[in-house]
Amino acid sequence: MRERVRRWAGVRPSRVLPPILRDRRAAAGAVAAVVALASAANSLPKTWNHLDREHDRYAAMDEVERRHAFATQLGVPGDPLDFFAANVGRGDRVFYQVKPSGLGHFLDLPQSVAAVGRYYLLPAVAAPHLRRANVVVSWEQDPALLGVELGEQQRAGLQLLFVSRIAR
Amino acid sequence: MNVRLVGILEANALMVVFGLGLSPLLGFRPRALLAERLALAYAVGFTATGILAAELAAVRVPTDWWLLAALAAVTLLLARRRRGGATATPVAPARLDALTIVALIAVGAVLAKTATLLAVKPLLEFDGWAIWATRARALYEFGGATGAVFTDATYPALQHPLLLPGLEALDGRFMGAFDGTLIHLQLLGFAVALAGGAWALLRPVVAPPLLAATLLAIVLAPAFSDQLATNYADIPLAAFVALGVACLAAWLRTDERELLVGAALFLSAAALTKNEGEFFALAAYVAGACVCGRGRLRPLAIAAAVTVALDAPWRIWIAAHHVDVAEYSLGDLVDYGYLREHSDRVGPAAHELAGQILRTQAWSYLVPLALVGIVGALALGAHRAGVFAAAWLVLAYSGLLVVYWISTNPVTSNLYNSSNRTVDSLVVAGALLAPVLLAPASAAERAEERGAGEREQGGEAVRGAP
Repeated sequence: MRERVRRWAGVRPSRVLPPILRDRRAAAGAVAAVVALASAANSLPKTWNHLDREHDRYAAMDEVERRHAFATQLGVPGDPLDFFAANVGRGDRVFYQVKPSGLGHFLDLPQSVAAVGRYYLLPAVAAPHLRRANVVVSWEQDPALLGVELGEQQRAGLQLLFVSRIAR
Repeated sequence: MNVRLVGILEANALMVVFGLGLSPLLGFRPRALLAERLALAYAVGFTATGILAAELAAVRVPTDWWLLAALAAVTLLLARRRRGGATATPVAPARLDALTIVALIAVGAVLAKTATLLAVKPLLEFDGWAIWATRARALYEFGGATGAVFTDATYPALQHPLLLPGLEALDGRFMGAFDGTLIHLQLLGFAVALAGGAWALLRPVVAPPLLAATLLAIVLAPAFSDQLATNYADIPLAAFVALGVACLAAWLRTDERELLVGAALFLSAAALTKNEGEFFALAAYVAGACVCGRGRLRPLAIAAAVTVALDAPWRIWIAAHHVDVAEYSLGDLVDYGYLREHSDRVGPAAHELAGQILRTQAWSYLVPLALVGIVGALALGAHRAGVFAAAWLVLAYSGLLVVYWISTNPVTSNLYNSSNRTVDSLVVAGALLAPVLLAPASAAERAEERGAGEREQGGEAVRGAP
């Protein structure tokens, strides 16, 4: 059959036509290339539009919005974070005293504030227990209720947001 | 241009210089074409910098700009001295057809478009900031893996290695501050290393049009660009795994030393990117050992030993700091009672993982592409590489399944939160294997076929002898 095709095509055997194995590999490679190109063509509009949409969404944000985006996405307002960050620093071990409240399906308010603070307040680190902390960050809570002796304390205006140093 | 952006560009430029020096020292052949030389240099320099940053973080040494600059200078100097006596013939450039050129330009365009998003994308997705950016910023602030962020169970995912955070901390040092938006640009490095590394290393052994089309299909897959921008480690892991597994498959077909070096480099980086990477690398070496033949077991074992040696410092660090994996215990793997008690997790996990792999909305036709490659290799004579690819995919899938089986997290939320990401490496690596599996027979394979044919003929002659 191969020879008949070669004779019909008027070509000399094995000089012009590649060996049958290479033919098949080339055919399989061509099929794969078609699948790959079809895959790319299928993705192109979706991916390109997604990149465009997302770019426009984030490019419109100012620097502060970008900095707070991860917290606001979670339902935690960003401004108090800047107040806390300004009053804690390297070497601080922070205990989060947060008003018990629901927030989302995934995390409640205390869990959310603690999670956000673990990133935002670095290089201050989180302390799992009050006894291992040297600073209390209070969110809509009165730090006096903790029953520990507090030293220096900052309050964000009249809001119930405090950064209190524990007196040791 | 803002100063921080210049900083991150400087860091990546130094990685290229480091790669230019390191590539010949590791045994990669020089590329005649400048574009290919730079692509290989970036892939090698970027990966080596990531490994270095992860290793040094474990011993609390910050990877600073001067360290990277010094390494780049020293390796360049050593490579220059070595080049004097070296006789390695450069890899000749290929004559590219129009389809390949268009596909490569399209890959560049997609990556450039992705860069415009990454330059303005804030930290947003939960694990992206709660795990990865927190660890990166802590490395930036403390200079290494020290303190509560890395050892206290208050912080999540303590078991994850430090390659991605190490690179982002390095960028922070170049930028002079930890910028939660601009660090996303470093994520583009994984996509560039994947495309550039695959092109520079695999192009000499595969059909260029298929390789270019495959790379385009990968970078355009919706899940790839979508997840790359999340600052999760799954696409970075997939990039290293895909490069490592494809290089290993190409080595099985060609016996080219530089491909085994590439496999060891990228699989080591995968092991240092995420815990699954250790398993994917192990699976690759096991699958490779099953098919490589006795004569090549030794070099493969050396490559595996390199990966183990590079992974060891992190494992030692984990043991020394008594960091436990919160979600599962490997000891449960040999606890028959535990496995039986949790066997009801296997069905949903297997179903969900397969569903995520087959999701065309996420991966377009990358899975059919991988299947064409494996079936083609098995049907058309590239048996070793075909069996290797199939065995690796089965082992990697089984490994993921086992983790979901022994996990202590509720199976529904566990799968809901992660199954779309944990399959990344399987899909991307499966797709990148296709051009390797369908490549023309290499000189080594043709010699092997000739040898087998001669042995067969010799056998027939002996049988036919009176």
